[in-house]
Amino acid sequence: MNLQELKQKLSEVGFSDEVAAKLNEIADAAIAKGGLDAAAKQQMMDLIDLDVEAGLLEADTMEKMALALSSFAATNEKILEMSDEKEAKIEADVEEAVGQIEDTMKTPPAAPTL
Amino acid sequence: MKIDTMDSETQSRPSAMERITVAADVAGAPRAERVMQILGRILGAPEAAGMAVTIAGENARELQLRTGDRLNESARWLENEITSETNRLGEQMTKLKDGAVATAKGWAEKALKFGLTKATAVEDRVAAVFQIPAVLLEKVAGGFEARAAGAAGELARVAAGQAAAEMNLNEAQTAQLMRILEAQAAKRGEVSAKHEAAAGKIRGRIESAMGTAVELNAKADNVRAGVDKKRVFRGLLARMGA
Repeated sequence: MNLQELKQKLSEVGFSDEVAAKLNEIADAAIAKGGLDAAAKQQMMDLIDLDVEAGLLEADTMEKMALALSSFAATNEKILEMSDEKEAKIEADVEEAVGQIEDTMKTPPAAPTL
Repeated sequence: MKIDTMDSETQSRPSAMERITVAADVAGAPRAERVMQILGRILGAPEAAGMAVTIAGENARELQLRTGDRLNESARWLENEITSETNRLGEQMTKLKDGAVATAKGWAEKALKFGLTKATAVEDRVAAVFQIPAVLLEKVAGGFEARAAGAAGELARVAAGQAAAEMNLNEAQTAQLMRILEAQAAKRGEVSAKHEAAAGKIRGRIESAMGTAVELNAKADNVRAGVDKKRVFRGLLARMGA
Protein backbone atom coordinates (compact mmCIF):
# COMPACT_ATOMS: atom_id res chain seq x y z
CA MET A 1 0.00 0.00 0.00
CA ASN A 2 1.41 3.40 -0.95
CA LEU A 3 0.97 6.68 0.91
CA GLN A 4 -1.89 7.84 -1.32
CA GLU A 5 -3.82 4.63 -0.63
CA LEU A 6 -3.09 5.00 3.08
CA LYS A 7 -4.47 8.54 3.01
CA GLN A 8 -7.57 7.31 1.22
CA LYS A 9 -8.10 4.58 3.85
CA LEU A 10 -7.57 7.14 6.59
CA SER A 11 -10.63 9.08 5.49
CA GLU A 12 -12.78 5.94 5.74
CA VAL A 13 -11.82 4.92 9.27
CA GLY A 14 -13.71 7.51 11.30
CA PHE A 15 -11.00 8.97 13.51
CA SER A 16 -12.00 11.88 15.70
CA ASP A 17 -11.79 15.19 13.80
CA GLU A 18 -8.65 16.43 15.50
CA VAL A 19 -6.75 13.15 15.20
CA ALA A 20 -7.83 12.77 11.56
CA ALA A 21 -6.54 16.28 10.82
CA LYS A 22 -3.15 15.50 12.42
CA LEU A 23 -2.85 12.17 10.60
CA ASN A 24 -3.68 13.83 7.29
CA GLU A 25 -1.13 16.52 7.96
CA ILE A 26 1.60 13.92 8.58
CA ALA A 27 0.51 11.87 5.56
CA ASP A 28 0.55 14.97 3.31
CA ALA A 29 4.03 15.89 4.50
CA ALA A 30 5.20 12.32 3.84
CA ILE A 31 3.68 12.38 0.36
CA ALA A 32 5.44 15.71 -0.33
CA LYS A 33 8.73 14.25 0.89
CA GLY A 34 8.18 11.10 -1.09
CA GLY A 35 8.25 8.79 1.92
CA LEU A 36 7.22 8.20 5.53
CA ASP A 37 10.13 8.36 7.97
CA ALA A 38 10.25 6.35 11.19
CA ALA A 39 9.53 9.37 13.44
CA ALA A 40 6.47 10.38 11.41
CA LYS A 41 5.24 6.80 11.34
CA GLN A 42 5.62 6.53 15.13
CA GLN A 43 3.78 9.81 15.55
CA MET A 44 0.90 8.44 13.49
CA MET A 45 0.86 5.22 15.50
CA ASP A 46 0.80 7.18 18.77
CA LEU A 47 -2.09 9.34 17.56
CA ILE A 48 -4.04 6.24 16.53
CA ASP A 49 -3.35 4.62 19.92
CA LEU A 50 -4.65 7.74 21.63
CA ASP A 51 -7.83 7.72 19.58
CA VAL A 52 -8.32 4.00 20.26
CA GLU A 53 -7.80 4.60 23.97
CA ALA A 54 -10.44 7.35 23.97
CA GLY A 55 -12.88 5.08 22.13
CA LEU A 56 -12.32 2.25 24.59
CA LEU A 57 -12.82 4.59 27.52
CA GLU A 58 -16.09 5.80 26.06
CA ALA A 59 -17.34 2.29 25.22
CA ASP A 60 -16.33 0.90 28.63
CA THR A 61 -18.13 3.75 30.40
CA MET A 62 -21.28 3.18 28.35
CA GLU A 63 -21.24 -0.55 29.06
CA LYS A 64 -20.68 -0.06 32.80
CA MET A 65 -23.55 2.41 32.93
CA ALA A 66 -25.76 0.06 30.90
CA LEU A 67 -24.96 -2.73 33.36
CA ALA A 68 -25.83 -0.50 36.33
CA LEU A 69 -29.15 0.43 34.72
CA SER A 70 -30.00 -3.18 33.82
CA SER A 71 -29.28 -4.23 37.38
CA PHE A 72 -31.42 -1.33 38.67
CA ALA A 73 -34.30 -2.43 36.42
CA ALA A 74 -33.99 -6.08 37.46
CA THR A 75 -33.93 -5.22 41.17
CA ASN A 76 -36.94 -2.92 40.81
CA GLU A 77 -38.75 -5.72 39.01
CA LYS A 78 -37.90 -8.10 41.84
CA ILE A 79 -39.10 -5.58 44.45
CA LEU A 80 -42.41 -5.18 42.62
CA GLU A 81 -42.76 -8.95 42.47
CA MET A 82 -42.11 -9.31 46.20
CA SER A 83 -44.53 -6.48 46.97
CA ASP A 84 -47.16 -8.23 44.87
CA GLU A 85 -46.59 -11.46 46.81
CA LYS A 86 -47.00 -9.62 50.12
CA GLU A 87 -50.25 -8.06 48.97
CA ALA A 88 -51.49 -11.34 47.52
CA LYS A 89 -51.07 -12.83 50.99
CA ILE A 90 -52.99 -9.90 52.53
CA GLU A 91 -55.71 -10.31 49.94
CA ALA A 92 -56.01 -14.06 50.59
CA ASP A 93 -56.10 -13.54 54.35
CA VAL A 94 -58.72 -10.79 54.09
CA GLU A 95 -60.81 -12.84 51.68
CA GLU A 96 -60.80 -15.74 54.13
CA ALA A 97 -61.59 -13.54 57.15
CA VAL A 98 -64.35 -11.69 55.29
CA GLY A 99 -65.84 -15.03 54.23
CA GLN A 100 -65.96 -16.12 57.85
CA ILE A 101 -67.60 -12.85 58.91
CA GLU A 102 -70.14 -13.16 56.10
CA ASP A 103 -70.97 -16.67 57.29
CA THR A 104 -71.56 -15.30 60.79
CA MET A 105 -73.84 -12.63 59.40
CA LYS A 106 -75.90 -15.21 57.51
CA THR A 107 -76.58 -17.11 60.72
CA PRO A 108 -79.90 -15.90 62.18
CA PRO A 109 -79.57 -14.31 65.61
CA ALA A 110 -80.48 -16.67 68.42
CA ALA A 111 -84.09 -16.28 69.63
CA PRO A 112 -84.20 -14.43 72.92
CA THR A 113 -84.90 -16.76 75.79
CA LEU A 114 -87.52 -15.76 78.33
CA MET B 1 -73.69 15.51 52.89
CA LYS B 2 -75.79 13.94 55.64
CA ILE B 3 -76.52 10.27 55.19
CA ASP B 4 -79.62 9.04 56.99
CA THR B 5 -78.74 5.42 56.51
CA MET B 6 -75.60 5.74 58.59
CA ASP B 7 -75.59 5.34 62.31
CA SER B 8 -73.33 7.36 64.55
CA GLU B 9 -70.91 4.47 64.95
CA THR B 10 -70.45 4.24 61.20
CA GLN B 11 -69.73 7.95 61.02
CA SER B 12 -67.08 7.62 63.70
CA ARG B 13 -65.29 4.92 61.72
CA PRO B 14 -63.50 6.78 58.92
CA SER B 15 -60.23 6.65 60.81
CA ALA B 16 -60.01 2.90 60.33
CA MET B 17 -61.22 3.11 56.75
CA GLU B 18 -58.91 5.99 56.16
CA ARG B 19 -55.97 3.87 57.19
CA ILE B 20 -56.93 1.29 54.65
CA THR B 21 -57.64 3.64 51.78
CA VAL B 22 -54.56 5.75 52.38
CA ALA B 23 -52.51 2.58 52.64
CA ALA B 24 -54.04 1.36 49.42
CA ASP B 25 -53.08 4.62 47.76
CA VAL B 26 -49.56 4.50 49.07
CA ALA B 27 -49.12 0.93 47.97
CA GLY B 28 -50.18 2.07 44.55
CA ALA B 29 -51.16 -1.41 43.57
CA PRO B 30 -54.44 -2.60 42.08
CA ARG B 31 -54.28 -5.49 44.55
CA ALA B 32 -54.72 -3.07 47.46
CA GLU B 33 -57.86 -1.82 45.73
CA ARG B 34 -59.14 -5.40 45.57
CA VAL B 35 -58.50 -5.79 49.29
CA MET B 36 -60.65 -2.71 49.87
CA GLN B 37 -63.39 -4.15 47.71
CA ILE B 38 -63.37 -7.38 49.69
CA LEU B 39 -63.62 -5.40 52.91
CA GLY B 40 -66.45 -3.39 51.39
CA ARG B 41 -68.59 -6.54 51.51
CA ILE B 42 -68.78 -6.36 55.29
CA LEU B 43 -67.99 -2.81 56.35
CA GLY B 44 -70.91 -0.84 57.72
CA ALA B 45 -73.30 -3.75 57.88
CA PRO B 46 -72.87 -5.26 61.28
CA GLU B 47 -74.00 -2.42 63.51
CA ALA B 48 -77.46 -2.31 61.98
CA ALA B 49 -78.64 -5.84 62.69
CA GLY B 50 -78.92 -8.37 65.49
CA MET B 51 -76.58 -10.26 67.77
CA ALA B 52 -74.80 -12.34 65.09
CA VAL B 53 -73.89 -9.33 63.01
CA THR B 54 -72.83 -7.39 66.08
CA ILE B 55 -70.33 -10.13 66.82
CA ALA B 56 -69.33 -10.10 63.17
CA GLY B 57 -69.07 -6.32 63.43
CA GLU B 58 -66.47 -6.58 66.14
CA ASN B 59 -64.47 -8.95 63.93
CA ALA B 60 -64.91 -6.66 60.95
CA ARG B 61 -63.51 -3.65 62.79
CA GLU B 62 -60.51 -5.66 64.01
CA LEU B 63 -59.99 -6.91 60.49
CA GLN B 64 -60.16 -3.33 59.18
CA LEU B 65 -57.45 -2.19 61.56
CA ARG B 66 -55.28 -5.22 60.97
CA THR B 67 -55.60 -4.93 57.21
CA GLY B 68 -54.86 -1.21 57.33
CA ASP B 69 -51.69 -1.90 59.29
CA ARG B 70 -50.61 -4.67 56.97
CA LEU B 71 -51.24 -2.61 53.83
CA ASN B 72 -49.38 0.32 55.36
CA GLU B 73 -46.49 -1.91 56.26
CA SER B 74 -46.41 -3.38 52.76
CA ALA B 75 -46.56 0.13 51.23
CA ARG B 76 -43.75 1.38 53.46
CA TRP B 77 -41.67 -1.65 52.57
CA LEU B 78 -42.17 -1.02 48.84
CA GLU B 79 -41.32 2.66 49.20
CA ASN B 80 -38.22 1.94 51.30
CA GLU B 81 -36.94 -0.73 48.94
CA ILE B 82 -37.43 1.41 45.83
CA THR B 83 -35.90 4.44 47.56
CA SER B 84 -32.86 2.48 48.69
CA GLU B 85 -32.41 1.01 45.21
CA THR B 86 -32.69 4.51 43.70
CA ASN B 87 -30.07 5.81 46.15
CA ARG B 88 -27.83 2.85 45.32
CA LEU B 89 -28.07 3.68 41.59
CA GLY B 90 -27.21 7.31 42.36
CA GLU B 91 -24.13 6.31 44.39
CA GLN B 92 -23.04 3.81 41.75
CA MET B 93 -23.37 6.46 39.03
CA THR B 94 -21.34 8.97 41.02
CA LYS B 95 -18.56 6.42 41.53
CA LEU B 96 -18.57 5.40 37.85
CA LYS B 97 -18.64 9.00 36.67
CA ASP B 98 -15.80 10.08 38.97
CA GLY B 99 -13.66 7.18 37.75
CA ALA B 100 -14.43 7.72 34.07
CA VAL B 101 -13.93 11.50 34.21
CA ALA B 102 -10.61 11.07 36.07
CA THR B 103 -9.43 8.64 33.37
CA ALA B 104 -10.60 11.06 30.67
CA LYS B 105 -8.65 13.89 32.31
CA GLY B 106 -5.53 11.69 32.37
CA TRP B 107 -6.07 10.92 28.70
CA ALA B 108 -6.51 14.64 27.92
CA GLU B 109 -3.16 15.50 29.55
CA LYS B 110 -1.46 12.86 27.42
CA ALA B 111 -3.30 14.07 24.30
CA LEU B 112 -2.12 17.63 24.87
CA LYS B 113 1.46 16.41 24.60
CA PHE B 114 0.58 15.19 21.11
CA GLY B 115 -0.77 18.61 20.21
CA LEU B 116 -4.43 17.66 20.51
CA THR B 117 -6.02 20.79 21.92
CA LYS B 118 -9.63 19.60 21.83
CA ALA B 119 -8.85 16.76 24.20
CA THR B 120 -11.57 17.76 26.67
CA ALA B 121 -14.16 16.55 24.14
CA VAL B 122 -13.57 12.99 25.39
CA GLU B 123 -14.23 14.09 28.96
CA ASP B 124 -17.46 15.73 27.79
CA ARG B 125 -18.54 12.61 25.91
CA VAL B 126 -17.82 10.40 28.92
CA ALA B 127 -19.73 12.76 31.22
CA ALA B 128 -22.67 12.72 28.80
CA VAL B 129 -23.05 8.96 29.33
CA PHE B 130 -24.35 9.75 32.81
CA GLN B 131 -27.13 12.01 31.61
CA ILE B 132 -29.90 9.50 32.16
CA PRO B 133 -33.66 10.21 32.22
CA ALA B 134 -34.46 12.23 35.36
CA VAL B 135 -37.37 9.92 36.21
CA LEU B 136 -34.90 7.20 37.19
CA LEU B 137 -33.53 9.16 40.13
CA GLU B 138 -36.76 10.80 41.24
CA LYS B 139 -37.73 10.41 44.86
CA VAL B 140 -40.24 7.61 45.11
CA ALA B 141 -42.31 9.42 47.75
CA GLY B 142 -43.38 11.94 45.14
CA GLY B 143 -45.13 9.20 43.26
CA PHE B 144 -47.14 7.92 46.18
CA GLU B 145 -49.08 10.86 47.51
CA ALA B 146 -51.59 9.79 50.11
CA ARG B 147 -55.15 10.62 49.21
CA ALA B 148 -56.98 13.34 51.12
CA ALA B 149 -58.78 12.20 54.25
CA GLY B 150 -62.09 13.48 52.86
CA ALA B 151 -62.06 10.95 50.08
CA ALA B 152 -61.39 8.19 52.59
CA GLY B 153 -64.51 9.27 54.46
CA GLU B 154 -66.49 9.01 51.24
CA LEU B 155 -65.33 5.45 50.81
CA ALA B 156 -66.44 4.65 54.34
CA ARG B 157 -69.91 5.85 53.38
CA VAL B 158 -69.89 3.57 50.36
CA ALA B 159 -69.02 0.65 52.56
CA ALA B 160 -71.89 1.52 54.91
CA GLY B 161 -74.26 1.94 51.99
CA GLN B 162 -73.37 -1.37 50.37
CA ALA B 163 -74.04 -3.20 53.56
CA ALA B 164 -77.27 -1.34 54.25
CA ALA B 165 -78.58 -2.51 50.89
CA GLU B 166 -78.66 -6.02 52.27
CA MET B 167 -80.80 -4.92 55.21
CA ASN B 168 -84.19 -4.44 53.56
CA LEU B 169 -84.16 -0.65 53.36
CA ASN B 170 -87.41 1.09 52.36
CA GLU B 171 -87.85 2.71 48.96
CA ALA B 172 -86.71 6.17 50.02
CA GLN B 173 -83.71 4.80 51.82
CA THR B 174 -82.80 2.61 48.86
CA ALA B 175 -83.06 5.56 46.46
CA GLN B 176 -80.83 7.58 48.70
CA LEU B 177 -78.37 4.71 48.94
CA MET B 178 -78.30 4.39 45.17
CA ARG B 179 -77.43 8.08 44.79
CA ILE B 180 -74.58 7.58 47.23
CA LEU B 181 -73.35 4.46 45.48
CA GLU B 182 -73.47 6.17 42.09
CA ALA B 183 -71.48 9.10 43.39
CA GLN B 184 -69.01 6.73 44.96
CA ALA B 185 -68.62 4.66 41.80
CA ALA B 186 -67.10 7.74 40.23
CA LYS B 187 -64.87 8.23 43.27
CA ARG B 188 -63.70 4.62 43.07
CA GLY B 189 -62.89 5.18 39.42
CA GLU B 190 -60.60 8.02 40.45
CA VAL B 191 -58.94 5.85 43.06
CA SER B 192 -58.33 3.05 40.57
CA ALA B 193 -56.90 5.48 38.07
CA LYS B 194 -54.56 6.79 40.74
CA HIS B 195 -53.45 3.26 41.64
CA GLU B 196 -52.77 2.57 38.01
CA ALA B 197 -50.71 5.74 37.76
CA ALA B 198 -48.67 4.93 40.88
CA ALA B 199 -47.98 1.33 39.86
CA GLY B 200 -47.25 2.55 36.37
CA LYS B 201 -44.65 4.93 37.74
CA ILE B 202 -42.41 2.10 38.95
CA ARG B 203 -43.04 0.19 35.72
CA GLY B 204 -42.10 3.35 33.82
CA ARG B 205 -38.83 3.59 35.72
CA ILE B 206 -38.02 -0.03 34.91
CA GLU B 207 -38.77 0.47 31.22
CA SER B 208 -36.81 3.70 31.11
CA ALA B 209 -33.79 2.06 32.77
CA MET B 210 -33.92 -0.90 30.41
CA GLY B 211 -34.40 1.33 27.37
CA THR B 212 -31.46 3.53 28.32
CA ALA B 213 -29.30 0.45 28.97
CA VAL B 214 -30.13 -0.99 25.56
CA GLU B 215 -29.39 2.36 23.93
CA LEU B 216 -26.03 2.68 25.71
CA ASN B 217 -25.03 -0.87 24.79
CA ALA B 218 -25.86 -0.16 21.13
CA LYS B 219 -23.77 3.03 21.23
CA ALA B 220 -20.91 1.15 22.91
CA ASP B 221 -21.05 -1.48 20.14
CA ASN B 222 -20.76 1.29 17.53
CA VAL B 223 -17.80 2.85 19.30
CA ARG B 224 -16.10 -0.56 19.57
CA ALA B 225 -16.71 -1.18 15.85
CA GLY B 226 -14.99 2.15 15.21
CA VAL B 227 -12.09 1.14 17.45
CA ASP B 228 -11.70 -2.10 15.46
CA LYS B 229 -11.44 -0.11 12.21
CA LYS B 230 -8.76 2.09 13.75
CA ARG B 231 -6.81 -0.98 14.85
CA VAL B 232 -6.99 -2.43 11.35
CA PHE B 233 -5.70 0.86 9.94
CA ARG B 234 -2.89 0.84 12.50
CA GLY B 235 -1.97 -2.67 11.31
CA LEU B 236 -1.77 -1.44 7.71
CA LEU B 237 0.39 1.49 8.78
CA ALA B 238 2.68 -0.79 10.80
CA ARG B 239 3.31 -2.93 7.75
CA MET B 240 4.38 0.09 5.67
CA GLY B 241 8.09 0.52 5.34
CA ALA B 242 9.43 3.71 6.87
